[in-house]
Amino acid sequence: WIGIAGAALAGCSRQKTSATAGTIRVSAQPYLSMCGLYLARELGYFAREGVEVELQEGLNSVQAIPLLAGGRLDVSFLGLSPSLVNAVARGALVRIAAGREIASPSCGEAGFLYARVEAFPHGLSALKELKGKRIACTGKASIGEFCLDTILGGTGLDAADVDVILLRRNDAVAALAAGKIDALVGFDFAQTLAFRSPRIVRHIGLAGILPNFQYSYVCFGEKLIQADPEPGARFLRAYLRGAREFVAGRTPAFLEKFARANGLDPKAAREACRETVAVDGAVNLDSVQRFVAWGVRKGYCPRLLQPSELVDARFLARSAREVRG
Amino acid sequence: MKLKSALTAFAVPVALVALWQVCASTGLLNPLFFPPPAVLFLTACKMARSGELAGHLEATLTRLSIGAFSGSVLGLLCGVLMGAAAQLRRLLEPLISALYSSPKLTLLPMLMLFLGVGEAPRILLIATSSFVLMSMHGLDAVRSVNSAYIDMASNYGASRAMIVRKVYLPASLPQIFTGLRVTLGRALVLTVSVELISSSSGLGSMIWMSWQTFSTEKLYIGVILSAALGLAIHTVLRRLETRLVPWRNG
Repeated sequence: WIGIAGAALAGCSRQKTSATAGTIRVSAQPYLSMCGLYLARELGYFAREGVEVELQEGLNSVQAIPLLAGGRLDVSFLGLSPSLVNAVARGALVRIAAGREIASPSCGEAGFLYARVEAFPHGLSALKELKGKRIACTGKASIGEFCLDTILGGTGLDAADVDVILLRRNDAVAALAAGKIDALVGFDFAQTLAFRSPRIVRHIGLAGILPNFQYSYVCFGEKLIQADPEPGARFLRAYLRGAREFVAGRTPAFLEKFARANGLDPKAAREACRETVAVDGAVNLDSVQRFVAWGVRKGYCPRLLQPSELVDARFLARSAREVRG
Repeated sequence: MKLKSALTAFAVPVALVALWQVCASTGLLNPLFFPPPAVLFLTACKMARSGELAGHLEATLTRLSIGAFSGSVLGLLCGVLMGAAAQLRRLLEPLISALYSSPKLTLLPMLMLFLGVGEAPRILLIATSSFVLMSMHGLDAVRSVNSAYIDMASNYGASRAMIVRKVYLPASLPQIFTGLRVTLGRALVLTVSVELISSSSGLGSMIWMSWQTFSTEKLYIGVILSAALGLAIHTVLRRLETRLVPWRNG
């Protein structure tokens, strides 16, 4: 028992796992929206900035934030979440360093409502018809729930007017296809095979209610925030260069491999709209504020943090200065 | 004697909690990830006063009771019958063995497709797991009964039903109780796991939400409550066993 306690203490001390001075530990969920990062790696932009990137794939926002807060990760590409807000509120050295994706009115798959045609015999012409329906959301206290509340709010409804079912992404897809739910709200469902069926229609998305809402960010952890801004700035410079090239039309090898591995059409993935990625990395403070206010209203966040408490603008400013210079 | 026994049982957990409190208070442990036990206690009191804890506990206990009770009773009956009737055993044992080895949580998406997205698939999953475990234990319990007892009862003219009631069941009780402890423990684990991935109520859901919102105090409270529930189930069964199977401990 004493040995176990001792081991736990050693493992949980404030000492961080080692990382070389030039190594930045990055987490990102491999998806099409991460192409800018992968392109920057493939084209050697990080190496040119003197940054060695140690990439850890597969961690979602909720998993990454404790690691950022505990110094076991330096950078994470993640979505807005109450977990991020609460970590900052509790004194963790985690900050938003740059903006990433927006809900573009002209393209993208951000927070769309997909409905089963049979559940709306006269067509889903007015969103008020959602009242009383079973709508799946892929997680409570998530950007998915925010999107659902935003869509419902736009029609004068709220979560109490519908039957919100919590289902993981793949379970939600299966449930909609099998008719167990009437609709779902989420991200990036268009590429899913089941959703190419004429029995499932796409309706309004987050951009329809909050055009250009910024929902994902680049976050920095303790090591970069406490140090001189230069390494963080260099990282951002390299990443943003990759993002600009991606939006301009260059495609990383990662995209083809990812599409094939996940049953997506590589051609469709290559030709999909890319303008949801913020190429200047600017942080939309209004989006951050709106999300925090929602989190406080729902009881997920203890207090209304100001965007300035969540955002550290030094790195972007330094990286932009160097580019202009 | 009883007091000394209780003190011994609690000595190590209390010592660990005290050590944790000292380390968290002095900064040796990061309070972001290891909130002091005193803070956990205060948060638990706040959650109890607001009714949040009671709500989650009720949801977990409801699912656990319905699923585990129905599954265990049917499983025990099936196991005893399989033990008493060789033909039935040959018919059912391969299926039950296959189900025993498969991770039950993987059945949840399929059950949701058949039964929809409410409580039915969750409770059925818990019941299925309990059924399979109790069948195996019931079967083993019956097969371990000394055949001399059965022969003797038969020789004295006991009917099949009487042999089951008066010989098989009492002789199997110790092993049945062991099976019940294992079954209910696993049912609790499965209940919390199901709530982690697909529910908005229950201890599992509370743990998941606290992870989603970086509320580490609630995370610990959820885990500790789950463990306490397991301990309570184990203790109740032990007391019941002492009453119903007094000959087990001599």
